[in-house]
Amino acid sequence: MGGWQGQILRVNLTKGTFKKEKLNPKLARAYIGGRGLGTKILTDEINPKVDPLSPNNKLIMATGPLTGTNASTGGRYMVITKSPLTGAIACSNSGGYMGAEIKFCGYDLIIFEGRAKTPVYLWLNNDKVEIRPADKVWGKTTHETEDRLKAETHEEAHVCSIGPAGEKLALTACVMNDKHRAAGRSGVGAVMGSKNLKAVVVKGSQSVKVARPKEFMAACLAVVNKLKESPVTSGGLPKYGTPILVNVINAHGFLPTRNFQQDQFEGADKLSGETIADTILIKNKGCFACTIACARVSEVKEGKYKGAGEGPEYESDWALGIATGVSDLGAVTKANYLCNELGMDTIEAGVSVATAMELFEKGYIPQSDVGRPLHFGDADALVWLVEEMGNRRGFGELAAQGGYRVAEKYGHPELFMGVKKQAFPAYDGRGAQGMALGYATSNRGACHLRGYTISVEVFGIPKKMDPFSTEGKAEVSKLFQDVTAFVDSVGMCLFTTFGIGAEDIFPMLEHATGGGYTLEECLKIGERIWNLERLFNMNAGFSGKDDTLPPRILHEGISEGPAKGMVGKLPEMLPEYYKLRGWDPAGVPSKAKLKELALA
Amino acid sequence: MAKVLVIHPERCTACRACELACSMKHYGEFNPSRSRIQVNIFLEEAVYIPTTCTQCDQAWCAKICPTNAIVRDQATMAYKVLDDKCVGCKMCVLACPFGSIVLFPEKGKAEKCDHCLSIDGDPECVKFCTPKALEYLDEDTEVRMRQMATALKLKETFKEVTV
Amino acid sequence: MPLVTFLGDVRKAAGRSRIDVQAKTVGQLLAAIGETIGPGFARVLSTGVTLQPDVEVLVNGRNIEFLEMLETPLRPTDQITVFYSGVRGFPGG
Repeated sequence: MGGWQGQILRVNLTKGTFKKEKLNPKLARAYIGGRGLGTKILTDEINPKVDPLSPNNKLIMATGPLTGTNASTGGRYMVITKSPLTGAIACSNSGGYMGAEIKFCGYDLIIFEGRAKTPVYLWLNNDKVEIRPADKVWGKTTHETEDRLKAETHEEAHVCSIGPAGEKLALTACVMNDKHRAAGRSGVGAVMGSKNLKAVVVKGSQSVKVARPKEFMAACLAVVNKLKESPVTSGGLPKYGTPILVNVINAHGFLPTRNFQQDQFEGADKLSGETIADTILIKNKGCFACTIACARVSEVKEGKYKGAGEGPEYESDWALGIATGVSDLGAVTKANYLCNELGMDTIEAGVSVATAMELFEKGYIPQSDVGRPLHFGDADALVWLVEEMGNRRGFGELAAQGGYRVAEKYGHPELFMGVKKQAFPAYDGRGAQGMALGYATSNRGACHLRGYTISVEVFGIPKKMDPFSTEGKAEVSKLFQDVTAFVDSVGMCLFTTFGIGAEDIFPMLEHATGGGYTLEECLKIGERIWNLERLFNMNAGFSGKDDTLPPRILHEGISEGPAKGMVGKLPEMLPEYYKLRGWDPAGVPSKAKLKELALA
Repeated sequence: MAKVLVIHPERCTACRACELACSMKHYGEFNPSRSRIQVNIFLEEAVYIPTTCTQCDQAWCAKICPTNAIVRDQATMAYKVLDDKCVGCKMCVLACPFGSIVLFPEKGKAEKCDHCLSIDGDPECVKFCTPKALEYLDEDTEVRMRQMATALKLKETFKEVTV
Repeated sequence: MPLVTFLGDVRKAAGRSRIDVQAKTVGQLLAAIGETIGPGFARVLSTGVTLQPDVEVLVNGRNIEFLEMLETPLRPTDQITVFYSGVRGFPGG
């Protein structure tokens, strides 16, 4: 067995005990690792109807067989659980160094069960496993937590933790690692908080081995060199980072502004990758084994939003800035730093603020409830509210639950811009039909990563498709969803696919594990994972009815700009998508399909 | 021609691929704690500095070794450890002020960066460094590079101050 | 006159973020840009007959691939955007 360590750590927080288990090789072979393997184990072990914040939910931190190797970007890990935000499967991915360090301690996966009586953290140091009291860091930001826990354990340990937001069970809460990296979406931080699990601290010096070292390194070097040739992975991303997308998507006319009321933003260039590179950028940085290095190490040097950290990334920039109508880069960056320190998903937090702003401007939220005016474009209000949310105080107590709960409380759930109670990311599906379909069908609620059709609709990979057209979108969405599930399972970052494809990734998986994989099988495994997630959701109570979009997206045309008048043409794409997936018209996987995927 | 493993810390992105490549090349496994090059990450200051053996001209480790197990390759001028002569006394570890040579307990031998001479003379870390923070250059090329870099800075200054 | 905006590294290659140019079609526009900024930059964008690979041109937010390519007619108030795509694979961002 190469790639995998062959060992799982199971931690019972209720009893304060742990158990080391052997990784089932058949399971590993069929689901690979990361998203696939973690989701399989979780869905086998929990009741789909479980209350996500109860001790009966489980939280899994899952690495892939390529995590901790020279596979380019081979450092990723997943945080997998049942989401308290959506009630569906949650699977959040993060970079930094955490995933690799878990492998260097000898584990493929860590499973957390139950609930500790008082706040604890897990300390892993090679074979040593300790559940230690976390009372001294409970209440502290993720940054202070990391500093203090490293002082207690090892100065070069790696830490993932929740901030006050997760401790207070905020549905916008995320799990931060290495200070600036986030397993962001779906409220996974709240699940950790519900278990009184403050942090995981890891330091290891064990090896990751591969089945065929020579062939593996040759495949890795080929990928490294191919990524060097791609202008995006070797030029655009390291130089400008993901915020390069701001001006591009704005030019296309589907950059959702002011809670999706407009789709071009007059302040876009002020928040763009170009402007960030010229102003607050200190340098770029990479995650473990990453040859792209797109992270933005940044600093706001002067003014009331002074601060330093990493970011903002495109999604953060958009959610905290453009969605809220705030064009002050200093304020948006400060809000981003606050999200990292307090432990909140920037997308969910930003859209919650934007939702509250629209409701406020329409008179649905009285100012007395908020404590101050909450207008679009108000930079001070943005920074103030994000801080309130991270601490769940005042109006932030509700806003920290995400835009859906805010809109619902004030009688207008239709003004929440998202799917399955999870906020939309930075592309309006009315202008990019493939994204409309992707948002509606993503297993974890609205998500751009699950099936990133912007690739074809803006960049032309592998071919150009008209963003306004629905033709062919069902087929390309399914393909992207399956491939992405595969990539999410090996332990690599999706951004490699800006320069390479599944056909370049699978040789590394094969030489690492010696599993006898073929490219076709890898794509099939992606499809298997997708259907597995779907089954879980259905058993949790979801149906085809939930594969939908808000009324604004389905019925209100984009107000102006290049995509003026466009609506999300979901009804034209969904039936064909179900058919291609081998699901019935209600979106239920057929018995034949499940058998084909060895899920029945 | 002497070769130099040139480190440009300002280009380093802290990905640590070099640590993995090194441990794989020498031990057939991925393990940063077994790497002869280490990336020292100062996260708050955003400074990342890879360090490894600098192949001293009058190396402390070679001088102190009682069995003459540390020898210099006359072509590249890099030092390597001869396993069959090394007795694992650790005098070299004590002598090196930089921590560039260590004893690996399982083998009982001293180990240090030798520019991959013990294998093929093609430093693996350099191959995997995408931002070119690590380069393996002829000594005179490396020196020339620094002279040109300095000259370029002077050129810009002169352009600014002269009319 | 049609306003042209350059994004990302196209700005670096052009030495500026925007330019106003007289032109009746996209092809003429690229030629006129070349005359103003220089033949080196013109070659970055187009071979004269086709766009260089990985160069995208939008007219009012619509990729010229869905209009009439270099023959796409231009009106005085049109907004043109030029950026690099250069991606291969199945990304997410």
